[in-house]
Amino acid sequence: MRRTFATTLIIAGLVAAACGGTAQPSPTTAATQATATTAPTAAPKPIKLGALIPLTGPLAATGQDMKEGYELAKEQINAAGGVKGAQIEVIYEDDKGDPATAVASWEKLVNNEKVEVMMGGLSSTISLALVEPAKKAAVPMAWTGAAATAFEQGMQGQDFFFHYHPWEYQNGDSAYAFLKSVAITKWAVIHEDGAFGTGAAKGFKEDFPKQAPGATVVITEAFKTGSTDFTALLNRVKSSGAEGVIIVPNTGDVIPLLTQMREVGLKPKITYASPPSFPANFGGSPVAEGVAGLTLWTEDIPAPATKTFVADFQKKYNKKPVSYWAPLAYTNLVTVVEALKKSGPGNKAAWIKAMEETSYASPLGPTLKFSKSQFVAHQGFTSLVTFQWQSGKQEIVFPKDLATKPIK
Amino acid sequence: MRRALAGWAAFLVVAALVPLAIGGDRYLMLLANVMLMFMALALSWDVVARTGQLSLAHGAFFGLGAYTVALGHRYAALHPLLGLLLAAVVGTAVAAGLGVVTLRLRGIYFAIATLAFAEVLRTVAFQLPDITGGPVGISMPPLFDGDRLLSYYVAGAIFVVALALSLGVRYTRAHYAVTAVRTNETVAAAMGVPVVRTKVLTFAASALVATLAGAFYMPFITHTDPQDAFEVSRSVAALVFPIFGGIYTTIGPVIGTIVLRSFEEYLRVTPPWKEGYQVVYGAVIVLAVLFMPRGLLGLSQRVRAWRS
Amino acid sequence: MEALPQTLLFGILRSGLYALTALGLAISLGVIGIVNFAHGEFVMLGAYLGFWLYLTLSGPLGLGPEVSPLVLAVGIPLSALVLFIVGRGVFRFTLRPLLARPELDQMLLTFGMAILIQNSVVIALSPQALDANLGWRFELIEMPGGVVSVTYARVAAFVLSMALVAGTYLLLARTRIGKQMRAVAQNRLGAMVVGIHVDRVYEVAFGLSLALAAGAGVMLIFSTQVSPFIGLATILKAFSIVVLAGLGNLFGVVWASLLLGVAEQVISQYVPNGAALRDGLFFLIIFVVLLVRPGGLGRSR
Repeated sequence: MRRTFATTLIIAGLVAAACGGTAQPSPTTAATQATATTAPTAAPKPIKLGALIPLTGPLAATGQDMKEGYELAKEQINAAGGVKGAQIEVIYEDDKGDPATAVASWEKLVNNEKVEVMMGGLSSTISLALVEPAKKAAVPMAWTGAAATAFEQGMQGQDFFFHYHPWEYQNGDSAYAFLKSVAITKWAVIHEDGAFGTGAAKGFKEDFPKQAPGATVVITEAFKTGSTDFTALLNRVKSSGAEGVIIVPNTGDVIPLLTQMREVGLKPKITYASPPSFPANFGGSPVAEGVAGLTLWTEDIPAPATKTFVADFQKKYNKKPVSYWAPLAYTNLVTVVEALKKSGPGNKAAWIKAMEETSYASPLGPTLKFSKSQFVAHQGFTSLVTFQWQSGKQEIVFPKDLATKPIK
Repeated sequence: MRRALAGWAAFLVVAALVPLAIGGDRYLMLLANVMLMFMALALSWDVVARTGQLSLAHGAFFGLGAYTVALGHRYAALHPLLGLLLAAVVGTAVAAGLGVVTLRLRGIYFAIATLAFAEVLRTVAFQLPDITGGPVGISMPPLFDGDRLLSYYVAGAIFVVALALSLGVRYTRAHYAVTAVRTNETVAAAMGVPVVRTKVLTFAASALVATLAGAFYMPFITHTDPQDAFEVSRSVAALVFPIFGGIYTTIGPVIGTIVLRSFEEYLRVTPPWKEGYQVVYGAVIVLAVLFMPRGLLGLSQRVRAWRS
Repeated sequence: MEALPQTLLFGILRSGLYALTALGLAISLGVIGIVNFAHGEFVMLGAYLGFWLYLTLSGPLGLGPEVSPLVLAVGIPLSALVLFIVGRGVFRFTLRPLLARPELDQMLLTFGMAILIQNSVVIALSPQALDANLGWRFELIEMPGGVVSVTYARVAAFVLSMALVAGTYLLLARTRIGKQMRAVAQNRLGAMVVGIHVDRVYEVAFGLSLALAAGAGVMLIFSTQVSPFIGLATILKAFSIVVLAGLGNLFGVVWASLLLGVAEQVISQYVPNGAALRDGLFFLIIFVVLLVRPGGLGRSR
């Protein structure tokens, strides 16, 4: 049993070693410290920014998309001289789609890497778990995703918090505005039963009829995301007499749902789908034609910044951005750095003020400015556009002033 | 036995001093808190394994604990520490009920029944949005206002309960009953071991600890949802750590958790692994099983045998 | 009740792939006694092989989207062959040394393998989910009566799954190696005594199990997205079916699949909010069945 005791002590040592291992400065920071001491007159210390995004797990594809947007912006910023001569460094940490991991990554970036600004953020669940650590650290936060109203409520009154993606109810408002313009009164709502779909469906059931007098939701059906068979619920929708169908699925559910609508003979006058993003080569599938949807961005948005962004992106990666998360992340980093240029590093109050003055002609189309939303003081984008798949392409059909094609 | 107890006492002293070494580093303190929580979960799973049953319900009890504390806070403004006690009672009662109906199943049948139990709980949490917050999940204020030193000692207390259970089953008459049941139920029954009672009691006591771990997780992380709370991968973690360290022992699950968790976190945050870390993690598990029968403990015994 | 015929039809059609996936698991469980947590990942590998074939045929070989029959005709045997060989290798070098060790070790090994395979695919290819725009995925066959139509893919997946299941049963019933497998499944020691080379039989059985998984994977690209993460979802249900059928009851798998496929469909159609509740109810059924019949629905040995 003395051996047991000895082993126990060894383990304790191991813990210490393992903890020490992770606490050691990463090679990059060690290197920069070395250069800083040997050549004090050389370029100023790089400015560290943290990006907390999913790099493993089922949301990793979107996380990769964001990372590509960040890397492109970083390259351009650094090539143009960084922040007053200081290069910027983006440190990516994985949230793994798991709250406990996300909190650990958060603490590491904020407390150990001592990043200037925390960026990123995709899933609402993850962001909800970060509310408390964020309030405690009160570190500047420029948050891309997480649309849940509960998260907005959580961040109420935090003046260091800037949010880019429209909130759930703003998504809703954009959708209702379009749906109102369609001459259909009987709607069906089909949604995935997670937080994303349930939240959106609630808006369609409760807020949409208020904003569109005469419109009614005659049936609401939930399904578990990733199920391969939707025929039963589509049958019920078919017999409900709905003329228009609103779908809030996850990306993978889109094609099975649309295919099975045809199998059961459900042919609505309009199909409106708002997944987080459409499948990669969706335009090439025969079920895409005529499907309308909501997006923050398409590559055909008629704005000069969009054209430049798509061209730069294609040049760097030899492919097109998969979803709007790439230009959103790009916009995120560019605006954060613009504000840093005005405030200089280490000056939170000045940075917040500089962010508040942001006016950036973004590749997403609208000029980005921060304004008050329901609970927080700094909300960036507030509306989305409606597009329709026509001959394999996303054509913007609403609002009218941005439209590239009329709705079919 | 006395030496083992002395060893564990020393371990607890060292563990109690870990925050001193860490200092004010909130990241490492978070890892230390979570480490204790997983050690408790791993120990609790191992106790059921000693009766020869493979439980996939430990993630479910973890989720049950999390939701009990959160709901207690939401509807009765229950302090998280009282929530822990409530969770312990709820978890034990549910486990006793579940145990009575499922523990006559053996092997993979029991595993699937416990997995099914977890799925049913998840569906319930999902489908009662007015009570549980549904898919959006549920939040509560942080334990001790986010003080990770105080929460570390709460996690430590839960670990001590787990340790007491594990050592208790090892060093009392329960050991013989449990081992007999695992080795051969029929023979055990013939020898007068109350097979069903042994299994149900062990399962309930084990669930108590797993529920406590979840009840700690909730106010520590402050937000959860049905997907996260009843995560299958947590049930899997509860069994991977003990098997990696060496099952049917107390030290095995503890070492297994420490080594695998530290290793996983190290790879996760260290270039060049980062995104690829899970490949390495998977490879380590495969290699460990192939070349380290009976886990790390078995390895250390072999090394000792080879040296002497 | 007018929806009943099509509810049953869709239920029956979906059970085909269930049966195929579950049969592979049932073989590794019933014959070798291995709980293979990585089975779903092998289904995923089969799906990627099928997807690669689809890309090659429709892209560089210039055959367009109308390659569905070819993808099935070439993809299933090809990926089955590849995974049969992989399966034998995996068994020989990793599982065989573990046979004498506790069941838990084998589970941990296959679990580690699942993590390893899934994440290797993420790194080597991409976490991005892919959709195959195969013609049969979308083209409809009108059913008699005209109320409902189904895709070619749905019918093809059912027919081919059933053919593969039937083929496997024939193999088990008629061939020498099949009979040996059943002998080993029934009584390992007895099989050894009569001179059966048990380790070789195990190896072939494991290869066969993965070959069936690969076939199921190829068919999966006709109904859903291909991503590194489709394994787990596939395997939970397959395990439940195997358990419901009763371990070692290879024939029971078909009935259990049919029962669960139809039950799921009926729940979705007739229980309010059924499509969201379906998985919860699915497992509730399994739970209750196990309590009433602890050895599964089939005769347990």
